[in-house]
Amino acid sequence: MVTKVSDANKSLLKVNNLSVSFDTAEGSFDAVRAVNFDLKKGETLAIIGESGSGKSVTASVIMGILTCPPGRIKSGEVLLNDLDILKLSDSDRRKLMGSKVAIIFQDTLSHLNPVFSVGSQIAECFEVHKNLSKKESWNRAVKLLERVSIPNPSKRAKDFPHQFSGGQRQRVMIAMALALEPDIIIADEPTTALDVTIQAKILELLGELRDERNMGLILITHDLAVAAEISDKLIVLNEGKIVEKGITRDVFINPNHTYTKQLMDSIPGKITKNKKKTSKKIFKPILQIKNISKFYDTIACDDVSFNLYPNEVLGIVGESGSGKTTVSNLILRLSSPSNGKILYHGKNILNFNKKDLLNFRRKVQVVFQDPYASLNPTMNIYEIISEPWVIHSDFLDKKLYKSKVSDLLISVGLHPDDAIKFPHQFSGGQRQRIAIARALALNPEIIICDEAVSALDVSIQAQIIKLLLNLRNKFSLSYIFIAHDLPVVKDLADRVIVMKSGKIIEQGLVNDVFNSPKEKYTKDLLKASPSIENLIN
Amino acid sequence: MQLILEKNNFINKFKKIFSMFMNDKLALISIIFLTLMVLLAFFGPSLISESYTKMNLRLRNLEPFSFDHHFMYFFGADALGRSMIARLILATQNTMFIAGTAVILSMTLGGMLGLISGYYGGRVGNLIMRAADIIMSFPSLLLAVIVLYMFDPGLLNLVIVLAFTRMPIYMRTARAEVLEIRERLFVSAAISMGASNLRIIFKHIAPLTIPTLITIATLDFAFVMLGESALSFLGVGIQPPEVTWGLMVAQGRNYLQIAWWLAFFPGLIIMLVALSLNLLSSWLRIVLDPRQRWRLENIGDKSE
Amino acid sequence: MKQYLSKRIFSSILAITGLFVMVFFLARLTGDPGHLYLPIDAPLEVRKEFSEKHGFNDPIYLQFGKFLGDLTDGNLGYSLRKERPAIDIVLEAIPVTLSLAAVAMSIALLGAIIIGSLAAYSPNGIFDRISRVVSLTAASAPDFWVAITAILIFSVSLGWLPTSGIGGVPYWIMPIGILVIRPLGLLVQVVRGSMITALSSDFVKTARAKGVKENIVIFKHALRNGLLPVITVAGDQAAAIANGAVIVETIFGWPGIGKLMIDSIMQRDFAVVQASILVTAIVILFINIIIDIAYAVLDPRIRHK
Repeated sequence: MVTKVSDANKSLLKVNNLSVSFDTAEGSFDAVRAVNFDLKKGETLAIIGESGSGKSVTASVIMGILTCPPGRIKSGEVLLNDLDILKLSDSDRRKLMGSKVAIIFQDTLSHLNPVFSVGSQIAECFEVHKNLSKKESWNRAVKLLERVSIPNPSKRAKDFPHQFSGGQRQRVMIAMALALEPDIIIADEPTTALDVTIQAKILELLGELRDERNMGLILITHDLAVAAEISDKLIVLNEGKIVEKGITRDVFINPNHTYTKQLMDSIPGKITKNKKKTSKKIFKPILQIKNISKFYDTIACDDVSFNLYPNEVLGIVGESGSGKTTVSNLILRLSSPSNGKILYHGKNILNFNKKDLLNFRRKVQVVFQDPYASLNPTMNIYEIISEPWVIHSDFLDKKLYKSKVSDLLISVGLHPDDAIKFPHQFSGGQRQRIAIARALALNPEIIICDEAVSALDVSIQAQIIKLLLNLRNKFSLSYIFIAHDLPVVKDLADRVIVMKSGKIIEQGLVNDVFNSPKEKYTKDLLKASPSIENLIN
Repeated sequence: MQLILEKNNFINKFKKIFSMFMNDKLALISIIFLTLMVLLAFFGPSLISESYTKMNLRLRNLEPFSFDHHFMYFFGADALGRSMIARLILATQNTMFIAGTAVILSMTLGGMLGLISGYYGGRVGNLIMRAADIIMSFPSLLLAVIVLYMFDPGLLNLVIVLAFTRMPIYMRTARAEVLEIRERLFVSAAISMGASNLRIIFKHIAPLTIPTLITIATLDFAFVMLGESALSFLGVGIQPPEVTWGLMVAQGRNYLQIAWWLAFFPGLIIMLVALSLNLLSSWLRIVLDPRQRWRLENIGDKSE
Repeated sequence: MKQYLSKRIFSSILAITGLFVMVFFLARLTGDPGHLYLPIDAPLEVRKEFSEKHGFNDPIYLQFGKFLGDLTDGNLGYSLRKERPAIDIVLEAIPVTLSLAAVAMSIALLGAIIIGSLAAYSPNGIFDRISRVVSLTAASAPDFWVAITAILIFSVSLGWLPTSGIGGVPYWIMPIGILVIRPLGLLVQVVRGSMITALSSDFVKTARAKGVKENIVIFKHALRNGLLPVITVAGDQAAAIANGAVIVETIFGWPGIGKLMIDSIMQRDFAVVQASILVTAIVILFINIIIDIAYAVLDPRIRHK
């Protein structure tokens, strides 16, 4: 996008030397340290950082919604049209919120009040700030919904947040922020939970509105590609400090700080694979999925067939509702298909007796998306990793548990002393390593990774992907790698399956599918996926 | 090496619990008071010499707070001249025993039933929950009155009735928790590892429900005790010559105008014990909820 | 929504039937039903004749059939003591208890919402600490003991209020006051908890970011959400208040259903006991349905289920 030449070169917003700390049990820690930036009309500033970098705290300070205590603003000023809003009284400050500067949040389901209709929540802006009548406010709310392309707005205004899809709820949120035509809109991770195609549309809408109303836009994101798509300039935050600042394009072409470089290296989709010579004819498939379907109230998975070969990484990509997780649950026998067969070394797992099933469960392991939920919080790491051996008691002599747990912890990059700790003492990435160690415990043939890296920060994501690739070679594993994020799959998989609405749309070797997709849906997906290359090239 | 670490862990845990008690002085007082009451219930009756529990007509309705007699008569004497303090201690044992047994019984049975109905679901699960609805949809006190009227109001029946009327709470709570925990990923992980149903229920699900159940049980102890007192007060609870605090209030009611202390002290003790349990339960709720625990930890670290 | 409600009604009716069947069989299986209906000192011939007349010697399934038949006719038996149909006696007593309970519940709810919200606004503040001790004390108070202590103070010593009976406002003060104490104490805790959750929710942040005033944030955005768990607990309190009514009515001599049931039990008038059980259960069923509707009105997510 082109940087707009602003009519007045004056700053709408200036943040000077802002420092915020939090008082916690471990003492006080600095969440934001001496942060400076400014924003002009029609400009988009991206604030980039991983979790805990202080980017959302900065937004909270500007909006006056930082919870104090435990938060504390130590120093600095936030100048809105040359007026320091940190010095204003609560009621003066309130008059500016929503009318001069408005915010769009990430998790729309929890940020919209569940018991009021969306129309009334938008209309409230007019009632609060402009003293308009209920009816007039409502009419304006409907108009706003129309502007953000909610179909049938006069009827939909009466609906409640839970009746909208994620993308539509984000549009409602945008409409609410637009209501009083603010000078500045802060978008805090506005597209993080959304599918790529919807993300693309939301970003497009934001850009359009910014240009239409000549607003300043602050985009807070962890995703460098998203920032590359829409921003004019950016700052990179690490541990509360600005480590990089500049024009977006310049920074991406020539990053100064090592942290920025590291972040850019972590962006998935860049590993150039030396094409593996997997000629499948030599091998018999380990797993054959034959025409499986699963019906709940709707069709979750419809006539899906594919094979998995030894030492292969098979990627399954698709947006939410595509049926990819259903497939994984069916293979894991967490649920049974309505139709079809799943053959493991030629034998149908659905007809397995208890002994065969136990053996199958030994050979097929899983790593789930959410490392916070997939480890039992009441068990320590030793118990968690050794549990598979307790269940499959013939696998390992009890006396050897301890040394084997140590071995596994080392092979996933943790320390043997970690065995006596509990899951809550680890970070997200470390927990995912523990889950991987547990999956390795029984020397499996297949590991199913269900969105195994989606919940992690990019730099951690890159580490886990590297780990998975190393382990695959070391233990000659096969992976089924399920993800919504295409670049991640590109890095990891040999072959890829694209799913939509329960069906397989396209499948083939990774390079073929990504470089010359055959189906329109695959092309759309690839196009919607934001990337830095577009900006640089 | 590991042993030392584990031991340190244990000591640290103990220190942490202690400091969390120190941050809620009311909870600390409560636990001390309750411990005292439990000790009294166990050892009290054997410590009292018989002379205080025998009729002594010279001391009939002796007024409290006088030092003219033995300190056992400090809270006065009842209509038969028996020491109030001695009577209260005797009643402690019965009251605590009835409430304690009923709570343990209803927690174990109710918890197990809730666990089973939540995990297996289906028809049996539904049937169990309908049964809970039947019990819940009727005032527990009336239910107990009716049942005790049909059977004999003995100690055992009283315990069974009280346990029975409180069971639905545990069934519902345990079931709701299980329904939520069952969907968590670590359970799916255990299933795909090949874990048996029993292992999943007892190793993965039950340990997570126990804190909630214990918090409820603490609160319920107070509730059951109040229920028992009400039943005794209405005359369908424990029967003389056995005695509980509730029965003492009921008996004292007849002498309200001439000897107020007969009903007042046992009632006060009921309230204090119930209050301590309430305070302890609200402390437990915070301690066992990781999202709220900081409220107690936070203050502590500052004062250190 | 309709489906949800009809499901609830169906299961409640099932619960009532279950309760009633249980009472029927308990009464029949615990020995001679005559034992329940007749005075303890009734001679043997009278007992025999009584059993014969009421068919207590028939096989149990026949008795159950007759019992159900009578039930569908609205015949809930005949009070041997008062020599009137049991249902009439019960229907006379119900309004007394209902008015007592309605006043007490309204006061308890309103008080709890105000106190609980204020306590939740600054958790661990001075108001919160005081309200915590006071409300927990209230929740721990044995109502019968509070009642007789109150009589001792306000009627006997001070002579301000009548000791028992029904009549004008002075007669209501103590019964209502005592009935309110425990539900109020309990509900304050519930309101406080759910309001703390509601006030720390994300949608409260959104409202503040819109520039909405604090009192509207608390009493519109947060309270509407914070009330939802309160309503559920208030439903359980319907049964709890009935428990309290038994005590209060007995002590203050109010001719409500609680006193009726205790008296009938003491007088061994089993037909009245049975009728009271059924009527009480139906009333509680209605209260629960009203609460379900209130829940659905307040929470659109339930409505669209």
